This record gives sequence, structure tokens and C-alpha cells, in this order.
Amino acid sequence: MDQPTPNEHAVTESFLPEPVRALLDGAEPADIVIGLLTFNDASTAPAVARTLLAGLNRNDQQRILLVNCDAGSQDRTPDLVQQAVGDKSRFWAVQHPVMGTSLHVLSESGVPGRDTAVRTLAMVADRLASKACLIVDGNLKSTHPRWAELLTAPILEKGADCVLPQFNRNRYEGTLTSTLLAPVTRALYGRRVAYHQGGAYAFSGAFIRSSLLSQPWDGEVPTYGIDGWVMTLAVAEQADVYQARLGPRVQQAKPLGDLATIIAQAVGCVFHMMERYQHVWESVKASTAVSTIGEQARLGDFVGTLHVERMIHGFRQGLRDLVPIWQIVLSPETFQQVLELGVDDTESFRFPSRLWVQAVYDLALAYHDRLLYREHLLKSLTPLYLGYTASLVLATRAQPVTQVEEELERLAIEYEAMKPYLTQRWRWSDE
Amino acid sequence: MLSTDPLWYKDAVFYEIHVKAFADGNGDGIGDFQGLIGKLDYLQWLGVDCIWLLPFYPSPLKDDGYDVADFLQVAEQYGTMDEVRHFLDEAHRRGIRVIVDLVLNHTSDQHTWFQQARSSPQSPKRGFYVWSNNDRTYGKARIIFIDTEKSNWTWDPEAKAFYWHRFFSHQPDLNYDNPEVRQAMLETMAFWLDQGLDGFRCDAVPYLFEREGTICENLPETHTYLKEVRRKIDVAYQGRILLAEANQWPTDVRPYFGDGDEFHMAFHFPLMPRLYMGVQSGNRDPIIDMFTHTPEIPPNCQWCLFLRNHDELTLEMCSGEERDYMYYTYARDPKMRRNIGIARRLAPLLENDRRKIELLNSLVFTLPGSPIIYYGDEIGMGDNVQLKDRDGVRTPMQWTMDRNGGFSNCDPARLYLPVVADPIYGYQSVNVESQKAMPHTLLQWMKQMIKVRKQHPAFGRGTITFLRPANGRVLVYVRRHEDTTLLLVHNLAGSAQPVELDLKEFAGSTPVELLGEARFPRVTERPYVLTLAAYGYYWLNLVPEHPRGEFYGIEQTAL
Repeated sequence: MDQPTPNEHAVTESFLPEPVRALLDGAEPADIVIGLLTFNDASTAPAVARTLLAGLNRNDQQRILLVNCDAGSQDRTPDLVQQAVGDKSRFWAVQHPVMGTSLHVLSESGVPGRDTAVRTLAMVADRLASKACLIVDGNLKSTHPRWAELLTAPILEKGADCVLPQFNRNRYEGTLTSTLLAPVTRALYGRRVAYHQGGAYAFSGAFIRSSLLSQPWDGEVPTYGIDGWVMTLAVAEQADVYQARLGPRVQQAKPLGDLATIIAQAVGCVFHMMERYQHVWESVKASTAVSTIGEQARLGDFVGTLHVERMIHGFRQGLRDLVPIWQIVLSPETFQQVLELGVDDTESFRFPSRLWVQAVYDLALAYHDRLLYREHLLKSLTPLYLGYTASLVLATRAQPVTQVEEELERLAIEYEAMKPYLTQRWRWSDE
Repeated sequence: MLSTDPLWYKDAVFYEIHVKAFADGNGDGIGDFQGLIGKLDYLQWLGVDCIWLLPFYPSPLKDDGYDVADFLQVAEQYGTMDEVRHFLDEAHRRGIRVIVDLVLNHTSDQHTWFQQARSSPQSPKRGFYVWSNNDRTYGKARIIFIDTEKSNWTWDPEAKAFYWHRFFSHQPDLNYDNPEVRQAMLETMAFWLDQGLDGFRCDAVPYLFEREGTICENLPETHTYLKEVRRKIDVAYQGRILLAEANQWPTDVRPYFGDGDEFHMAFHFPLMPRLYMGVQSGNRDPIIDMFTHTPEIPPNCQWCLFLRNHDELTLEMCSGEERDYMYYTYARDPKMRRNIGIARRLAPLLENDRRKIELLNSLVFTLPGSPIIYYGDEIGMGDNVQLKDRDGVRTPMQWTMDRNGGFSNCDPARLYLPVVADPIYGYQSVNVESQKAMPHTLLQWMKQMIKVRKQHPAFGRGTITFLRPANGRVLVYVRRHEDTTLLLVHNLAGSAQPVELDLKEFAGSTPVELLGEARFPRVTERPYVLTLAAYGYYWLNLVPEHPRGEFYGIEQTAL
């Protein structure tokens, strides 16, 4: 990989806060940088730090630096993390820049300005010539010592560019990911990643230099959330991606925002990156699995209560309130079929997978064509998502978990099969 | 499709229409049911849930239809009974209910009952009215129409007796002590409910009975009869409603709700002038005081709130000082005054200030009760104070900038009243067509407010708690219903105002502005600071930090 010129260093480092630049001046190299992202995580972050260091200290030959990137905690989180790691370990506490808009955009970790934290860590890892940079949220209560090894071993031992997490999930957990984000990413870029957001991932120093730091880091990144952005970036840049099965993911609860906002951010990220990487995805014809390490687990039982009737009601409310928007963003045939779904009673309600895929692709096209203010367009997906999720639950809730997995696999194949529908229309709109 | 919720009226937005004033279907210059049917799509578009029709019965029209000559017919100029039924079907098909004025207290002197009654003391209908051989009986009863009436008794030379009337002398009061009268009015109601009407706005209910030594208002006998009416409706006509017109203090109106077994709804008359006072003086006290004096009502009952209606802005429930203030502020020209009130429409009252119009509508849409919009006020129609009585606020609806404002294609000279045509409020500039075509007009704003209101049952069903921040120009209240908490903030002043709110109780929640869905900074233990533009307002939904159970069950795990 090319080394940045001194002038490039100056440009990128102007982003770094002065205290970080001071720490970097004359700092010793680090083989592995552990980035711990925190914001008022005093109850969990010290344990997470200890756990990660324990996992990496098994290999004494690696020079490790733990960087606590904090968003301005009021509960002394950085002090407590420092106490937890002790004097023997190298430790930096830095406060990453939090832009005004970031306060409204909380990622799944609940850390404001998470994008600038990741960027700061990437720059630190780059300046310290690190082989790997591991980034973990400070509120992940289920962090295990083996996480550090699973996330860094493919980079250190096999030359991987990045390692993405795959957590154990329960039936119907992460339905936006399993019915849209992951299968769309798979259909677009040909890589079958689980697309599990938040918590833990790692990058090689080379990937940071060639692909992460070279990105424009424009205003769209904080809008859409950094996790989806880096995952999409990894597959779109055709990096050597590994997945690490990390087991369950238990997080200290923090507010995420309303469902429509979550959808707008997560799906908006995918659509945003489609525009940037059209030259990559339009020629991809099939998908392949990515290398995955760690213990495999099936979907677990669903925990909680699903309100299917409310979801269907939410879909019908969309039929009442959003028809003018759907008329604009959906193709006429999709729109007509969606309208016809409104007459079914609850138990017999079904939202065909093909129609769902078609609707998602229609929205991607409408996003590309800027048919509406993009946030409104993305939020108008919410009732459709509720309708499809309700249909999925109604069709499979009496079935074994394998049936759910098979249904989701069929859906992913449907996305791939219908990709020409998307590609052709996308090209027409460009002409 | 009509809502099946028996408490539908608690969430409903009402719209008051005079048939003659809304749309002329046959080109005779008078609005009618054919015209009205043609405008139902507009009302559905606007989001109206229930139409309130003023009387459309045959009448000599000395009191604009409130002098009913036949309770069981439709006035010829408005259409036929078949057209009324067709109108009801078409309204229901669009999810709109219809209630109509029913004048319980009196008839026209042209009603056959009165004609027969006056003809002879032996007439079977003589007992349908209240007679006396002197004009001193019930001397404690006040005279309501002091501009035109000197006594509640009028000598009838044909009957050779005085007859009792609380309103105009051509409107003799029915005698509710007579069981035949009570039965006849019950049958009248049943007749209209059988045609498909969804209820009645019952006119002048406090005056049904008379007792010597009393003011002849709100008597126990009246409540006994009204409960009988309600029983009949509950048994045979579920989902239909009774709305009381009782221009009284809330404590005096409260008995009309009974134990939830009398009226479903009642107008909150005294609130209306206090809303205007509050905005004009930039002081929240008149509004809060009025709610302080408003008693709790049964859970199945509801107040009706309004800014304007077909009558004058009544000041009967105001003190002399308050009345002087209202006249000085809103009706310096004596032509604007009628009886004890001000006969002007909303927009002219507020000097056509869009900010004040929005603010007052916002109050009526967010205070406890169901709002009523008077036809034309959604586009800011003007009035004509040169017309007699209250005709100035009953001019034709302004639909387009075409001839007669699109109300009728007749010769303008044939119109029942002239269309408002002045430079500010004239139909050329103020009409539905032009306001529908532009995105930021008053009409579009009203439509948006109605839509947002319907999305949150807390507006119609929630409790209210007033906050009292140091800045007395800002009116702040919280509406709670089930898991929803709404924070409503109104700047009553004509200049920008800051306000510090003690929202400790809601610490951790995020205020989400309901019209634009913008998320405001999270509420903490510290004072919550808001700034408001002149006459500005916020409708904020306080979304809790930790939802008490997810709504769909997938929100926290969607990713």
C-alpha cells in the first residue's frame, strides 16, 4: 500500500483534536489498537476493557494500545476504564469531536458522534503503523475474551482486510437486517454477510489506509450511521472480509429512536452507497459466502411479544396516509399490488416476498431519482416493512425455526433473482 | 366507512353548515342538499368527521330557520326528503356523520300546533303552549334578546291571552308540562333518527320548563325529560348523540351531562370569549381560570369547543368589565354588535392576522373537547356587518373566484345574501379553490392540523394539567392519555417569548414536534427552555426514554 505523503498527513490530521495530536507526537508504534467507544458507560466499559485486554494479552509479543474514545461522559467513564486496565497496559483516553447534528443521530451503541470516533481511531491506528484496529462498544455486556482473538486473528494470521461480527440471534430478531439490509447487500455486492450492526469489528492497517481513510467522510456518514457504512464499504470495496461468530450480543439498553428513523438511517445508508458503488454492483451476478470463524448457532427462540395485529394496522395506516407518496415512489404495478393487500383480514394477511423485494427496489430507484425528499421517502418504507414482517411472522410462527431460516434464504435468493429489475431501471434513469 | 367506536364523538372534528349558505345545486340562489352532496368530497378531504346542519325544516325564516313551522318536513327551498336521505347515505359512505339542529324549546307561530292552539281555549293543541292572562307570571326569568324583546310574554289577540316565549315573540315556547308535547318531540326525534341522522344539536335546552319563583332555567324537570330522551336513544339508536346548547356557566351546564345519562356533549360557551381575551391581552389567566371553573364530566361525555358559529360571539357569560373589554377590542363599530355579543367572523375579529388565527385554532384543537369549525372559517372568510341581524356571518361559502364565489350560478341579484366581495375577504381572493392549489394556505394548515389531531387520541380523551411557568404570556398544558403525553405550548403575546418549563417529571423523554416530527433536545432535571415566535405554538409529544413496552415488539431489535 502507498504511504501517505506528509501533506496528506497534514490534511487528515487537521481533523484530530489537539490532545490526540499531542499524544501521537513521538508515540511508540502499536501492533493492535483497541478502540473502546463510550458515552456514560461507567457501569459496563471497565469490564469490557479488561475482557478485551485479557483476550489479547495471551500473546505477549504484540504491542497493544487501548484507546478510550469518549463522547463526553458525565459519569467518569474514562477514569474508571483507566483504573480497570491498570498501569501496566498502554492506555489513552481521548474525547472525539461531536458535531451538532450527531446529537440527533445515535448509533446502536448510543454514542453520539460515533463516526468521528471511528475516524479518530482509524487515524491513530494508521499513525502508529498498527497491523489491526479493533473497535468495540463500551456498553456490550456480553463481551468475551475470545472476541479479541476472533476479531483479530484473521487479520494477523490470514491477511484479512476486515472482520465483521455475527451474533447469535433469536427468531424474528433483526428483521430489518434479515429481510432487507443483508439480502440487498448480498444481491448487490455478491457477499453473504450477516450485516449485524453495532458492537465489534476489526480492520487491518492496510485496509484503513487504502479504503477507510481515503473516503470523503462526508455529511452523509453520520446521517446514516457508521456501522452500516463500514460494513457496506468493506463489501463494496471488495475487501477480504471475514465474519466472526461472537455468540450472543447483550447491550446496556440505550434509546435508538423511533422505528421510522431507524429504518431511514439504516436503509438510507445502503441506498446511499448504491450510488457511490454502482460500478461495482451492477456487474455482480451471483453471491458467495464469506469465510466465517467461531461456533455456529441456529436462531434461538423469540423473546418478548410480537404485536402482529398492530403491525398490520400500521401497514393499513400507511395505506390511508401514504398513498400519495407511494404513488410517486412505487412503480404502478407494485403500487396496485400493495393496495390490494389492504383488504385481507388479519390471519390471512400475506405480503408476498416478491412484492416486498420489488417495493424495496422501487424505493431504491426513487431514492436514486430523488423523486421526494429522501428522509420522507425512506420513512415511507416503515408501513411496508411492518406489513412484510407481520406476514413473515404469520406464515412461520407455528413452524420450527428452520422454517424461518429457509424462508429468509428464499427471500435472499428472490433479491438476487430480481436484481435485473433494479439494474435495468437504474440504468434507464441514468440515461 | 363510519367508525364503530361508540365514543367516536370524543375524537371527532365537527363542521357547522347552514344548508342555504354552502352550495346551490339548482341555481335558485339558495344553498340546498344537492349542492351539499356535491361538496362532501371537499369535507372528506379536509378531514371532517361530523357535519352539524342548522335547521332545514319549513319555516317563515324570521329567525333563520330556528322558527320551525313543521318538524317532520324539509323546507322546499333546500330539497326533498329523498335528497336528505341521499345526502346522509353519501356522507356516511365517506365516513362522515351528520347531526342536525332540533329546536326543542319552541316553534314558529306559524306551526299548525300554535295556529290550532290560539284558535280556541278548547283546542286540543291549546295545552301545547304556555298561556297566561297577565304578563307578570314567571317574572324572575331574564329576557334574552334584549335588543328586540321587552317581555317574555306577548299578547295574542286571537287567543285573547298572553303566550310565553324566551326568545323572539314569533317563537312561542312549547309547554313541556304537557305529556303530549313531550311525546310529540320524542316522536320527532325518532322520525329523523330513522332517516339516518346521527344525532341532534338540541337548541336552547335550559328553558323547557317554567316554575314560578325561579329564573325558569335549568330546572330539575328539564333534566328528567332529557334523561328520558337519552334512554330512548340508547335503547333504539346506539351511536347517535345529543349535543346540548346551553349558554351557561360550566357548573350550570354540568348537570346536563347527568351521570353520563343525559347529553353526550355540550358547548363550552364561556371559554370562547376568554380565548379571545387571552390572545388580545397576551395573558393566559382568563383561559386557565375558565378551566379552573370547569368541573369534571363523566368519562363518556365531551365538551364542544368553538371559536365562532352562526350566532354572535356571545358575551352573556362575561362580567360587565369583560364585556366592555371585548366590545372595545373587537367591536368598536356598533354595527358589529348584536344582542349581547359580536356578530363577526373569525378572520375579521383577528384583523386577518394569520398568526392569531392559527394560534386560536391551535388552542381549540388541543384543549379538552371536540372542535367545531364554522363553515368558511377554514379559509378565513370575512363578514358583512352591513347586513341585518346575524346575516353578516351567514353569507355564501366562497368556493372559487367565479361568479357568486362558485356558490351558485344564478343571477347575483337572486342570492339569498350577497357574497362577500370586499378587497380583503372577497371571494376573488379568499376561496377554497385557490387555497387548495397552494401548499401553505390557511386551508392547507387546517387540513394538516386536523390530520395530526386525529393521530393522537390524547387530544380528545386526555386529561389536562396546566403548567405555570414564570412567563405569564405563555400558556402551557400537558394532555395525558394511556401511554401518550402531549405538551402544548402557546405564546399568547405578539412578540417572541422565552419560557422555562419545569419538566422534571418527564426527564429522559424526547419532545417530538407533531407537525414536522422534529426531535427536540431531551428533557432533563433542569429547566427546559423554549423560545416561541410571536403567537407561536408547539405541539410536542413527550416520547419516553424507555418505552413502557414496545408497540410492535420489533423496534429494539429491528437491526
